[in-house]
Amino acid sequence: MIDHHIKYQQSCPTPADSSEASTGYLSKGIGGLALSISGLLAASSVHAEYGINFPEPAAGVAREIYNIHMLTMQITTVLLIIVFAFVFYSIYFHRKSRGFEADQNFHKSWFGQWSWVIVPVMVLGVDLTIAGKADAVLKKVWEVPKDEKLLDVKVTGHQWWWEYDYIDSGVKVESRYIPEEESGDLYLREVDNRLVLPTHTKIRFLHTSADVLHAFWVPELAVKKDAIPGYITETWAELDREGVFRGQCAELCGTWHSRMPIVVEAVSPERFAAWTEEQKALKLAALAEASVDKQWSMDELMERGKTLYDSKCAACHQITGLGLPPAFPALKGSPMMAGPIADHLDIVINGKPGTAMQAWGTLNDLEIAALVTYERNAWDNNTGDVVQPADVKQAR
Amino acid sequence: MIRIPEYQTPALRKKNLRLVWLLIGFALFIFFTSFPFWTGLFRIVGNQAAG
Amino acid sequence: MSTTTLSHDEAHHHDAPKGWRRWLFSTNHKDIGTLYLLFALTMLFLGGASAMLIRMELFMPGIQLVDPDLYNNLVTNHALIMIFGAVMPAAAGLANWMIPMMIGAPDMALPRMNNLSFWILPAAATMLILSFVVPFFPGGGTQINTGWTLYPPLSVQVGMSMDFLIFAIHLLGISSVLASINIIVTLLNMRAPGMALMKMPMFCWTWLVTAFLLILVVPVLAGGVTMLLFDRHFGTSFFDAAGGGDPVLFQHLFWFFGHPEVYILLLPSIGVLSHVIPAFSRKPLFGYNSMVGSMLAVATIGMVVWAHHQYTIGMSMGAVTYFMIGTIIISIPVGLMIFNFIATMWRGSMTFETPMLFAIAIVLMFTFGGLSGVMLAVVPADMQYHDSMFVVAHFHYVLMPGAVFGLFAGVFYWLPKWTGHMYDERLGKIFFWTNVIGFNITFFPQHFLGLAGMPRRIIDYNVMFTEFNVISSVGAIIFGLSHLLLLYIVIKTIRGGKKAESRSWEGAKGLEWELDSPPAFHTWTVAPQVK
Repeated sequence: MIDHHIKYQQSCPTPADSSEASTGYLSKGIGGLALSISGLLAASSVHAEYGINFPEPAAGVAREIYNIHMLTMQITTVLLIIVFAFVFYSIYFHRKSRGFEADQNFHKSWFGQWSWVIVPVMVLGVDLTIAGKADAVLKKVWEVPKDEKLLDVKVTGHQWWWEYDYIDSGVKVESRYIPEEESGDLYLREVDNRLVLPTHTKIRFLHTSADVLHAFWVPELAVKKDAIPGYITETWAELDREGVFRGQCAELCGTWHSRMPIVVEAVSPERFAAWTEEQKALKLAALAEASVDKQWSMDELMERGKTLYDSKCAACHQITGLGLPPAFPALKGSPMMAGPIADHLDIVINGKPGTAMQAWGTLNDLEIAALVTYERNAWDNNTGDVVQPADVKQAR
Repeated sequence: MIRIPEYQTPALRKKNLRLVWLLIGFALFIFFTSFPFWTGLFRIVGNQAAG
Repeated sequence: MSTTTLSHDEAHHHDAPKGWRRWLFSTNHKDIGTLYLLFALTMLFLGGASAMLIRMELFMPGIQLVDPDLYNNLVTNHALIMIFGAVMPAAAGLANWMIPMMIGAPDMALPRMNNLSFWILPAAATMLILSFVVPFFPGGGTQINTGWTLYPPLSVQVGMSMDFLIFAIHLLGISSVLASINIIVTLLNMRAPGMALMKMPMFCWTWLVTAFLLILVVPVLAGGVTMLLFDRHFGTSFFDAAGGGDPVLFQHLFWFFGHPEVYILLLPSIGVLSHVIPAFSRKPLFGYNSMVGSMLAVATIGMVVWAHHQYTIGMSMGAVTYFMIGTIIISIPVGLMIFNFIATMWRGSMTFETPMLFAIAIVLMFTFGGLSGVMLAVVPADMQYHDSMFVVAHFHYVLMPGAVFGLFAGVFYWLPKWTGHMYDERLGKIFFWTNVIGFNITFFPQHFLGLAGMPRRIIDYNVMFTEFNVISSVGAIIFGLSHLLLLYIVIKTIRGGKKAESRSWEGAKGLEWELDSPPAFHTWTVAPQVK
């Protein structure tokens, strides 16, 4: 048992530890099975590692929710024990094999006559206790505090990545899952760009979606609302400690629903301000680069194009360009790649309605030029076409 | 062939069929009203208008 | 109570057709009941096979057996097949077999419509299976990766298999509305003289309420999927925000059907319990009137709390408060039902044959699922639970005991009546224990997974969720395989066994036990007099 225990701890990293190599799943699974049997006997030692309850809340809202969860769980556990006790008492004593004669007049006693009033009144009492507490918590968490300075973060769900817009500063973060080779044991719980948030600041999340339904869920923050295309739903939280909190998309959003992790990095307000300035500077630099009136060489575009493609396009069209037909067409050898450049630019900039292919018009001219050049020349497509940012500008 | 069993006297048959048509009408009524009814109610219940 | 009037001559000069004609053209409630039950058993294994594939895929982190779209299609099919293919037809099968025998009627009120409402089902099942098979062929489009809730806009992205599914749902809906109409007419017009509504056996009462619920909500689902079909092909935008429509409207339509559907699945089993528990406690049902009353209350309140499935869509605080309180209030009538069952057992003289074992398991485990339902009803806490594995654990704890175990109890209870043979009690008990233990190993750990942060409907998960998924999958193997034993027991009982008496169980009460086991082809051709 001790053996398995150690093995488990090795393969379950703390949030800060992301580099550890993944152990074999099979051995882990068998280890887990043996552990689970022994672990159930030693329940106290497994609590912290398995996660059998919500993780420690990191925001006031989440703490309120955690408390009401614990309260209802305790009330329901007591009720469950009462029901079990009556049933097992009855099973043990009121059985024919003990020679117990059925009491044919039980339902005619005063209790039998009035139980239909007594029982509902008792249940109503429990219900009102729960509903009363729940209502009090609801008032605290449901509506975003008014007349206060809030940090607005627009959370947009895409198939299958998250976009975070800091509305006040104009900073935009695109957050995607990291393939298993790079993320190791944090696979499906780690992203390339985290959502950085300041502590001790009231944050308003504005949820929406670019395509289908998604849901933003980080258990430590406990704010879950559906991201609905055409809607904006609101939640809020005030983080009270620094740390890295992980969650996942919670509303089925198609093929790669499992690959939409969310990682929130809570930092001090000072560090957040510094981070914001840094992001603004990076954005300006990128814009400046894109607007330089220069002819880019094939090699430069191909290099930038590959980086962009692998992060933004490969989830559907795959690194190999083979896609996953029929939902996601192959780009390798596709007639679109050899056809007119204008059509190719059009589908990248405007997307294809009715399919998962979204509009990529928010990328800058240089990025689109690099992407299209890459797609037209990678995987033996070899058209030799070089698309310049000026061409993209014209196509918009 | 699907036969009519003997116990189905004309009186019972008439009584049954009357209730059947009533229930079918009810089901169709719900089917055809489901859309306008729901859009309307939804606008009242939800705090956000459609679109 | 009554005199048994079995007219064997009737059955002979009627010259019932033999072979396949007997089944295809059947207007006999017993034959149609058997067809329903066999259909449900087939679908149980089909739905079970998809569940097994899901659990095997989730056995380990990583993507091993199926690709993500196929996985999501299995999730979709598991739900649809189990709900529309297994549980509802099985309950309809029990209704067909038992209702005429219980109320002293010669047959269902509309025997030919009865035939139609069954024979639509195989066609619907074929459409459902086609929706699964079509994507495997070139040009067949994508798999249905939406889950059974079919939420747009995702369901608008899916290929032609979604159209097959929409038509399958239409057919299933027509079938169950016709069956419901038939049951209502039978119960209202065909009761034996002297059987007032408040003297009707509880199973009949539960089906009367269920049938009304079906007629009320199934057309709404039909309306919803019809609009989906129009959005997909005819350029409407009911559910498309870009065209002035509203994706959330579909969720309202779906759950206005979906929540009462839960009670549609549950109530017939509650009816079965109301016969099984008194029979094996040798004591009348405690609180017949309050059972009827609470059932009507459940059905009524259940119609107006649908949006507790959609707390996260961004409703106003007033709206969620209403739905929360409405949902919590349902615990009152449901609690009264559970109380009545326990009070029926209390001071009874119990024996523990398989139907009774299932009944006790239902009382305990359905209470468990109901209580986690109260937790889910609390809006702020639901912001955490919503769409996590906690929800999966909750509704399996409600639907497996609440619906499926009730049907198992009913099948074991009435199997001697139907076949004329007692089933093998020892095998029945082995089936019960493997089934219940397997079920709990499968679904109990999923509560923990949900609380720790595992969303539902994901094909692949982080290593932190491995342990409980392994336990759950191992449980699923035990649980899934145990149903082969059910199949064996049923076949064995049909083929032979100890001769069953008319009153197969010592404590069994009701008109159906006045008839022979197995009953004649036509029963109650002369109505019994009920005092």
